[in-house]
Amino acid sequence: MKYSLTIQEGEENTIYLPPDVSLSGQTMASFGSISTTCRFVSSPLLDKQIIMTNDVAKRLYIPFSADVHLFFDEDTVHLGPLVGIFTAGFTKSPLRPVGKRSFFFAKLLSQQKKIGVFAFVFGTHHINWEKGTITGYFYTESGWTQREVPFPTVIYNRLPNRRIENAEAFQAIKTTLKTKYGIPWFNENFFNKWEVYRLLEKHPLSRPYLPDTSFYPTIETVDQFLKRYGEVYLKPANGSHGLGIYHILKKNRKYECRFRNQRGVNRSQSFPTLSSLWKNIFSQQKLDSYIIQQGIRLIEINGRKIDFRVHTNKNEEGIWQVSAIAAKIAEKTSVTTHIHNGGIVKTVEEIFPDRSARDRILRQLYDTALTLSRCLEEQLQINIGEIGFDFGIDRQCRIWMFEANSKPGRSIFTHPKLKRYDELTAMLLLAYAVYLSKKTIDKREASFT
Amino acid sequence: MNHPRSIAVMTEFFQTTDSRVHFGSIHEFCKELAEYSKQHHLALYVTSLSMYLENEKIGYQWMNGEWAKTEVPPAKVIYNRIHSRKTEYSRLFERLIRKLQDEHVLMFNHRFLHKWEVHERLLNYAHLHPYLPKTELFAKKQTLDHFLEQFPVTFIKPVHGSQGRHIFRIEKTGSDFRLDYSTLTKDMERHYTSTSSLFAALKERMRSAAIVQQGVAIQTLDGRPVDFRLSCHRIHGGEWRVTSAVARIAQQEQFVANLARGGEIVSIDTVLGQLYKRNKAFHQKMLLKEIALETASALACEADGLYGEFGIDIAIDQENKPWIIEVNTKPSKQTDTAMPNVLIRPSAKAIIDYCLFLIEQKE
Repeated sequence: MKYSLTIQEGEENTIYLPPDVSLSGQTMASFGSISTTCRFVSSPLLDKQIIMTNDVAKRLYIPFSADVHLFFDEDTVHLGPLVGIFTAGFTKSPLRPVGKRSFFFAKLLSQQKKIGVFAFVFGTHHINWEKGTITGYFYTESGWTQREVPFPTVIYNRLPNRRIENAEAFQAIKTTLKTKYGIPWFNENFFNKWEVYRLLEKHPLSRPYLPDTSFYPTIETVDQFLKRYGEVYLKPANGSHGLGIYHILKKNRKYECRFRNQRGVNRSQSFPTLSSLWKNIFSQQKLDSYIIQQGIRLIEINGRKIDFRVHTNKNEEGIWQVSAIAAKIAEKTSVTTHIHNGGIVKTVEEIFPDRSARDRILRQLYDTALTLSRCLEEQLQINIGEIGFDFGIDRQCRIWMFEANSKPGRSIFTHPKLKRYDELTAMLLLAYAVYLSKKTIDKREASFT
Repeated sequence: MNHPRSIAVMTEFFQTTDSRVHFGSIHEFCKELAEYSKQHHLALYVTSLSMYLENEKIGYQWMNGEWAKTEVPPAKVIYNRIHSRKTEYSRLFERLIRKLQDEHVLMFNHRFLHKWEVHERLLNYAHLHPYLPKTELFAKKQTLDHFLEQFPVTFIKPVHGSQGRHIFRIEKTGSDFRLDYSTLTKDMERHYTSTSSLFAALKERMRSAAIVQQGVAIQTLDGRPVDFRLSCHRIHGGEWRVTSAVARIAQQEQFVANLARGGEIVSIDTVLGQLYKRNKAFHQKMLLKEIALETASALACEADGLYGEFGIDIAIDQENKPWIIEVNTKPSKQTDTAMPNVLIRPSAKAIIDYCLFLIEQKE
């Protein structure tokens, strides 16, 4: 339930609540990590509205009037939630505070009114540890603005890359906010391909969707895989955007290796033997953080491979739902369907014009994505609000999962027909933050009683 | 493929004194389109609405240095450069749309979007709100009153206007309102003491639909207002790119920087370099491009039909904040000629790339 919170001039130390909000003796109000005692007055004149006098708003560091949710525990009324989005790469420009990712965050934050949360973006240097506040960036009707607010109710990690995420400084901050302040994080790290595979392999419901995979490819494992499957992929376990991927095929007694070179050009080289391929391509290349994966004969359109990006999000009830589906068509010579790699985004309707075939495939993709989301969450034991899956369909119409991304990119949303799903996924991320906040407050309450 | 991939440019024909065909303001641009098409083994011809409806197998092709009327392979994609809004509202144009639908021929840009249509569509995107000046339809006096109370300067613009024509500027000056007009440079200034007399005068002059728009205190150089024109094009893959970005400096005594009103094109880097220090100029330029791209892709998603290019006018106010002033669906080609020694403009290449993308998609 969403309420519109209005901050009013006055020093009455009061929060006026609508009549449908029944209190059970609460004497405190809180916003994020800050609480204060105040008076609550039930006013029959209010409808889905909360009015707060200025003195309370100041003490709670509420930045402006907005739509909020209410959560209750024994002695406190929690307003919010206050959602912090953690990232790095801030600029000195107040109009473009997160550089070229500013519009990405702006789009996410501008959904907050629809959901009823206070959401802001912050980085390490915006935290004031002594005061227990953060000077975060909000996106309002007049643009970016910095405001001092309490520590958030929940934190969404949106660091730009694995390097920054793995830095000790970040890990220390995360741990402090988690353990000392009890603030839950969601999507708190990038997934590692090998870890995801190992976890999902253990689960009987997810195992059938996984291509055969092993860690640290050697010439021997590649040879085994090729004998079994005819083609293999070598992928960096911590890679993104399809970078560093090799596709090896055994074709007409020849070994072919396809990859994208450093200049971004798709290359293909053939060798008479696997050992000559290995010597030529991998003699200088360390593969100790690579995985080797069974190649799947994907369905094709006009000789171009197709795979699928399926987004799942948890909603305000904490239930997984599919929030976007797109097909990606690879460039003829490309190793992957990544957009950076000349891939093209299509809607499922464009790929499968026939209604009944389309519905069957959509059902399969939905079911698989939901099953895998639940399994992954169960196995990882962390809070996840959003996953972007890469799926393939083979010629027997079987679905395979290639990758799960905890910070899925937005490139599929450049397709005009998919743009509204960009909004939907943003809304759901904030809706999940509401769910997680409520859960956290309820749990904290339970642990005291 | 039996016959070659073919593209048509649809525009108005003019006749020169030596009775050769001329394509008006896009004449040179058509040559570049033709040259670049040739490089990509595409056939390109220029046609008009009536010529196409009469016989789509006839058109003007660029051959041996001139435009020759000849038989052409029917187009798979049409680039709509009809410049008359009246034509687009005609029965003939309706007939064209039906014909193209029946025959599965694609056309971009679908049609003109007027100022109010643009504003309403962009308003659906919350992340663009900070950059959209407050805008309403100009119908009621109350609306005007409300704007005049809120903003020191208010504009009234015809929804179908172009090239900065027929724009009224109202400025509050203490006790009265000063009215300025963009088309006549002199002797237009008038003073009104009440909003009712002002409203009556505006209603009298503004015969067609118009919008009321919050005036933005835009940056000036030597007292001359500056704004920016960013050309956005869809490229292969359907993604949007900024193909050119220039600054326009208004003529003395003018409040619009349109070239047709004597505005002057200057390099964007020069202007931003004069207004800001290096780091700030960099961020401003990036922001202008990002806003233009967000605007283009939002508008293309919201509008019916296909759009492959937009000319986006953005101004920066004195607090350094950009504002989306206007979006042109048939942008003039004058702003991206600023580069000498470039035989084919980036925008011409982008148009053909997009055509090629559309054709490939269909195949």
